Amino acid sequence: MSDSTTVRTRQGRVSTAVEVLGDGPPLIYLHGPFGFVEHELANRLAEHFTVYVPAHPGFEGTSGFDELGSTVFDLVLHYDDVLQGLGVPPPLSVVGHSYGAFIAAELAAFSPDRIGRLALISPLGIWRDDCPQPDLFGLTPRTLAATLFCDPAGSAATALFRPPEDPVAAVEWNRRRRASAVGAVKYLWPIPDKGLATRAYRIKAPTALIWGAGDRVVPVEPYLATFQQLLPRATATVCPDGGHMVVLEQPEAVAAAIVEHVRE
Amino acid sequence: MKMYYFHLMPYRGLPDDFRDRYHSVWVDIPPKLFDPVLGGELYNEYLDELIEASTLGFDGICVNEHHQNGYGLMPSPNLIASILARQTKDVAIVLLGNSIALYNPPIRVAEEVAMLDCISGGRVISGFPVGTSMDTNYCYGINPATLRERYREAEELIVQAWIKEDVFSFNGKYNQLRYVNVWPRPIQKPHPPIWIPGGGSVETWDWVCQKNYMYAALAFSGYKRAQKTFDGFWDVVDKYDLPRNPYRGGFIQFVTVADNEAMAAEMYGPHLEWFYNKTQHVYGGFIDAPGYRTGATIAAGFTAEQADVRITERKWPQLVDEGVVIAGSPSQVTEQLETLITNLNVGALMFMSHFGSMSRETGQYNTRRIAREVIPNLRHFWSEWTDEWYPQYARRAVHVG
Repeated sequence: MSDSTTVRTRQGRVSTAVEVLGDGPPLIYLHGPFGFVEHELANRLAEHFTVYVPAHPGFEGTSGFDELGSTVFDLVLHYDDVLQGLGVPPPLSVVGHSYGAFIAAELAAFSPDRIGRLALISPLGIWRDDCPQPDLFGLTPRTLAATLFCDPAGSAATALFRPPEDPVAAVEWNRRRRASAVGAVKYLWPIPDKGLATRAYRIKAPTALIWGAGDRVVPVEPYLATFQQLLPRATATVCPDGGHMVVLEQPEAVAAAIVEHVRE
Repeated sequence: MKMYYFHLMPYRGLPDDFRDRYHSVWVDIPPKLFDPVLGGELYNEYLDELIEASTLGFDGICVNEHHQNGYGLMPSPNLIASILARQTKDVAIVLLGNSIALYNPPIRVAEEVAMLDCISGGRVISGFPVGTSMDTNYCYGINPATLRERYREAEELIVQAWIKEDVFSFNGKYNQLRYVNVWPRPIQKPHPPIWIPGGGSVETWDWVCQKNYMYAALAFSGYKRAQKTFDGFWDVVDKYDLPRNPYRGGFIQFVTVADNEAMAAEMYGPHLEWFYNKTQHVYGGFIDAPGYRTGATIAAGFTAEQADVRITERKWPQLVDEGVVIAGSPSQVTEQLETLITNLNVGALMFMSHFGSMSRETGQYNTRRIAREVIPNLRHFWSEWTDEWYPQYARRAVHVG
């Protein structure tokens, strides 16, 4: 089953498209900073769950972006509204990748009782001055591919950055890509750390940390250990041959780790 | 017609192979490339040039704000302007200007401009640029998604702080101030003239017209390419049913004068090429952060999106052909500037006569010839219009040299 629904929040001034896939217990999947591109991963999860994929504010499928303030509080409040609007009862299983993992972790810290299971894949949200992360929004397309993927020449990388051949479709593709970036920039600029470390102690949900061994954005060393210090009971899975976009490079391994964690 | 002298204050000490060896002239230019002793010499030399320009027959002298770069050495235009306010007489001191979204709280700008207006005796023009993406988003870390909203709020706060005659409170989205009370007060009433420097942001035109401010297009791509910008701008002026007063528009232009075109090419060519090949060597990722340009501006075709390749290799003949630089004998230059003034319909022309790696002597030579042999030929333009965007107590120095 694959369907989509629209959730209206803020008395109808903000709307959010939510893709709904599969069947089974509910699972919220929060995609990364480039829009919902990890279809294979989602389809694998959909074999076990009803997967809800909301579009992040400002991304394709949303409207009323300017209604939302630019702080992490505004973002979490928005997701609180969206989850209420979806009508899925807590406690929820929430999985996020990169920017989506940042949102998922903040949600779990702000509303610890709402989140039952949490999986963070290549999470943004913590910054160490001794290991600065590359500027995802200050990289040209070519450098970006080399930064995001373990194998920048692989099919996953080329598919993400190759515009459609039809020129009209290419303009639209570029516009969507740009809109996504603006949406993520609003909550991540200039450094993707809005105080999660000070709130992480509130997270109650059993958490799985899932990483690509070759992540050049949030390197396993030292960031996995940093997250583990904040979430001492979290499990860790490091997938070989995956970069920051491990959700595209190793969807099978990532899906297996999520399924195991959520069904426990 | 009003004519202004504009100085960017470039860092002349960049190595010859800068472009091959370094990532970008802006944002992450290596600190070790700055020689403070040379820096001090350049500041003083450039101040001399600005001060001399104030005596040559220009109507004003212009300074601006840029950060973390070898392109222009004025992180604080107000510091330079404070010297000029004291050391010059007569002419307008044009701040182009303070990037008001960067100041917390922005009343700092209201205070400093008021100080400058007092010291100069009411000669200040206050420019409010949004600022480049490099300066605002990358150097000063302002969120591109909220930059313009922050900018608009800062403008509102500053202008209110100048106008209101009582202490007031300001409950903004980005600024909460219980007691707004700018001391000192500007001499000019209700406040110094406001110029809005812009590239090609289409909403800016609407806003400038709503506020009745002056629009100064500060693109270095020359008067031929600026036609599209000004056609768009004057259409918006018409839409608001405002008079097409040329003083509402300003433009910056590289101008070089010699005995003839060949001499101009020889004297000035290398310095303009230096300007492009060094100080325009900006890493493509820093040009245009996502959200810096609005959707409407991108749709209007003014986009300069982040790209892997930026062409900065420019040669003099091409720059002349494209109108990026106007060069030649005084009469040739006059003729082209007449075309510029007429076609763009602008009443404020900012001359870039010192640029790039130019020595003091070359810059002086060019500036003096422009002042003596070109400016007087253009003065007659637009005498039927009133310049509402010139300081109440400024005037052009009568040239005696």
